Amino acid sequence: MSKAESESELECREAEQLRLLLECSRGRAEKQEFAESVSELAALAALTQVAQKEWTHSAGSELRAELLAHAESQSGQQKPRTLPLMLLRRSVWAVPMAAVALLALRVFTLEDDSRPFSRESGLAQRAELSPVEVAPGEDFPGKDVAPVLHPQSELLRAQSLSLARRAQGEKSEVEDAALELAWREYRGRLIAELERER
Amino acid sequence: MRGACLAFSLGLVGLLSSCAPERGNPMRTEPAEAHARSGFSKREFKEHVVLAHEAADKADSSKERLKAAQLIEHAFQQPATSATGIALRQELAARGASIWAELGREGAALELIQRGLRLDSEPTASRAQLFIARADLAEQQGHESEARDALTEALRINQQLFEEEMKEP
Repeated sequence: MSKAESESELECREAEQLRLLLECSRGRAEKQEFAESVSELAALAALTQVAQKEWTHSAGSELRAELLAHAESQSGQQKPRTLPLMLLRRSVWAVPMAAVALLALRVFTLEDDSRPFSRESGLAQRAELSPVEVAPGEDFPGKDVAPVLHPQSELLRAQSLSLARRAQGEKSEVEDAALELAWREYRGRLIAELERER
Repeated sequence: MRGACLAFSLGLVGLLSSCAPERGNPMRTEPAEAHARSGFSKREFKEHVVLAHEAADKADSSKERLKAAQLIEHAFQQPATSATGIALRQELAARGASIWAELGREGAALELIQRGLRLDSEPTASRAQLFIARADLAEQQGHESEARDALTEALRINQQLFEEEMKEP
């Protein structure tokens, strides 16, 4: 088997795992099936690929499109943040499902992840995204699910993304810088609250 | 999977048992007179917090980091016991611990984290940040299992807070 064939086969398997994971998140598959099929960390690693990888095999890109379509179908009737939070509610799968949700959120809000990681680019990227607000009709996938968040939510989101990355055994300068910035903003709010306290 | 869950639970019990809160209802604001008795001034506390974070922001050299860590410790020790005060103190503890760890003072880092956790057991972003600092420290010390437990606890708190936000109208 050539290297290209081997990579393609690997992608197929990864895509299959992702599909299973997505179905689990929708409650279609049994928990046991999930447990046997994909480990927590493998799931996290695979999900990152949904957000970041340039898929050469159609299965991956189809799945990514499916995930986005699922998110868009939610947007008309629920709050933008509902999709990831809906997944978070599956407490039995708290850790992996949280990661699913968080990384899914990342897919919807950080489409362009191709720029090189650095503290500066992380802060710049974060600044561009804050507040995450999209005019109706703006043309990019997940436009209707982009959340507008207040400072505590921004902090929680930044913390979540950093945690999801850490759960993969990685530390990302982008997420760390975003978390630092979110803390800076939230701290300002806490100090203002302190002044208002009697 | 089941074994991993059990190991995680046991690890977490150990981790959390060393972080029991010092006080009861964490959301209760202490009366102003109690602060007055202890010489606590909200304005001074705010100034200590701002000064400590500014020092940490600017710290480049080891000497500056040491100074920042000391300022953070000083601000942390202020008896601010409202929910907001505790959130600020816990975040100070998390940041201070990171600086102590950078300086190779792992004992001081761990102590500050534990003191931060003992302030309050209420699930807050600040408490989650303390667990992240705990994970960083454990990783630095090569304690992978502890790091994972701490990260998982941080994520659990984080999720719980999201859940609470969902319930809000």
